[in-house]
Amino acid sequence: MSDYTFRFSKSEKRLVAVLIIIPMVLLFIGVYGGLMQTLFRAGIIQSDPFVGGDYYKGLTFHGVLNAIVFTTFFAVAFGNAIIPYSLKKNLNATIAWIAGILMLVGSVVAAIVILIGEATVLYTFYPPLKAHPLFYIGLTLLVVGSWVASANWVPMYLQWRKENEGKKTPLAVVGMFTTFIVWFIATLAVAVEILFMLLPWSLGWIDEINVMLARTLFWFFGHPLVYFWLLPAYVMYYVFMPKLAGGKLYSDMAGRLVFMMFIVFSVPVGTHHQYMDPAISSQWKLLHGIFTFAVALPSLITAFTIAASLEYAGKLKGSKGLFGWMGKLPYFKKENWFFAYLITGLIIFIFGGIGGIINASYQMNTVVHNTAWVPGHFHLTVAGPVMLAFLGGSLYLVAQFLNKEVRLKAWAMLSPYVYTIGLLIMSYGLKIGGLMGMPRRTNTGASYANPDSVLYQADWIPYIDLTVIGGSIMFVGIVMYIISFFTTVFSKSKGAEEDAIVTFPISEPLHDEPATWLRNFKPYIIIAIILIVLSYTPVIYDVLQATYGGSLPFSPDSPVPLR
Amino acid sequence: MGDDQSNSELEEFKPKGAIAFFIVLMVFFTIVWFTLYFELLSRG
Repeated sequence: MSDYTFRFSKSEKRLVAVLIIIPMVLLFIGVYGGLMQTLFRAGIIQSDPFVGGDYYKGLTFHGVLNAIVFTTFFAVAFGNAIIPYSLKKNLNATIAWIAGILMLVGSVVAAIVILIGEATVLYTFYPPLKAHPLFYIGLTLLVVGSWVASANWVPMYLQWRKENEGKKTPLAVVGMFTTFIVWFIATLAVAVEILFMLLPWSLGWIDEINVMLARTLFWFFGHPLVYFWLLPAYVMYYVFMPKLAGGKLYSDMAGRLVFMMFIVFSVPVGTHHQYMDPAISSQWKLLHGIFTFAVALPSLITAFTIAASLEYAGKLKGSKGLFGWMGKLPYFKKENWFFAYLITGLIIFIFGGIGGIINASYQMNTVVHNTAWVPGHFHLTVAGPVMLAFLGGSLYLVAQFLNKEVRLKAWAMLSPYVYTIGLLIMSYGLKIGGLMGMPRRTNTGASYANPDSVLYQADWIPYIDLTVIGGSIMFVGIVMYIISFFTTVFSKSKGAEEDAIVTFPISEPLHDEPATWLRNFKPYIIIAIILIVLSYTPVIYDVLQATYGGSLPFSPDSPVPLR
Repeated sequence: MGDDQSNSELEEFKPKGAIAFFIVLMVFFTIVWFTLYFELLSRG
């Protein structure tokens, strides 16, 4: 067996396949919800024709299923695949299955509660909007399951280190541990918010909730959540993409530095989502803004390193001139369909990245705050590089672990391009509309886009139309993907399942620096904890000192409290 | 033969294209950022 293959147990293979296939069904429901959002906001529909319910219910299941459920499942499934593969050690399958079942039960419970209209609280679940307790319990199970899954990798890794003293940890393993270190730190805050605030309030054990504290705890979690989404995509960019392009990773050390920087800077940034909130002093918001600029640095390092890796691949194929390498990459090779998902994501991220810097630029946030610019921006990140890398990764994983040949490869290869065209159109409509004042979250179809309303804004209509056109093209791209995905899942296996060995396109480094200072997570975790304590202690103090009273629970369809 | 070519590429490769790409990226980011900044200023 070569270094680039590994034989997983039957149980491990089935687990990875289940963790990919079931969330894919939920993802498609969420994507359908996304299409309906554009139709609601344009005033084309007033209620969901299939699922029933109003705009806010659709917005909730679109956000929760796509941004929280699908992403968490993929990160766990990818970790369950790439960590054992890289360390050449099998998972403890019993623990991995327990984790997977916790996540599945939690997600299905949360999804059902949303779909029956008992948790119309959007993906941020801000109080005073109140959900059924089962929604919060479902999310808790999803998070706890992901903790158990990642804890299951630790003994394998420690054993590997003992057996491979002095060796560098494989870059993919560094990346996946970084992902879950950030996730673990971030989810501690949301665990406090759910277990000590939202759940007892939802159960009626306490009457009122401190809205500002809940929002602050949410954003302690909510922004690092973005890096939890991005980091597995970064693992694919660093570890797979250079090889898929036919080259090598320009610098192994750059990848390790980037992952350690994410550990340090991912968390003390959340207050930049609360620039317009009362209760928090401006100097602490500015501090979080500065850290947000710091966390942009690893993405800029990544932009250069991956460009250099792709340039190297282009040079090997005989490219000339400064930009000739861009023309030598395998954009439309159906046998190399995975590359299309990664390159489209990177192109989108150019636009997503600058949007994020603008959002974090304190006073400039006033131009875009709570406008359609914001979903225009985050669709260029979570629905761009993250979504596309995860879709490509899901198809790759399911084919490998079920021992199938990917079917309809041309569709699989074209899908990310179709999706990208739609996404760029939709985000352009949202961003320009946002700059004109179009609000986010609000059902514009019932007001600003309704000619019968006194709020009607005729000059917004072309941009709302662009979101419908773009959203519809994105939906077509996803349908192409889903057809290829499920045709692959239900196709005949290449051979007996137990004979199958798994392989990943692991890139060789061009420069394999020793980077001894980047081999241990511990100092970076300690620095991260210090920064979190320094940046969040005054914020929490301010929030607790504020004189705002607690809030009774509300639903989105009435200004009267629920009790 | 293939290895020789690879080795010589490895020794000589300088990512000039990636440096140029990065500079263009920074210029693009600067233009977009200032577009929004002037939008902020225009709102008074």
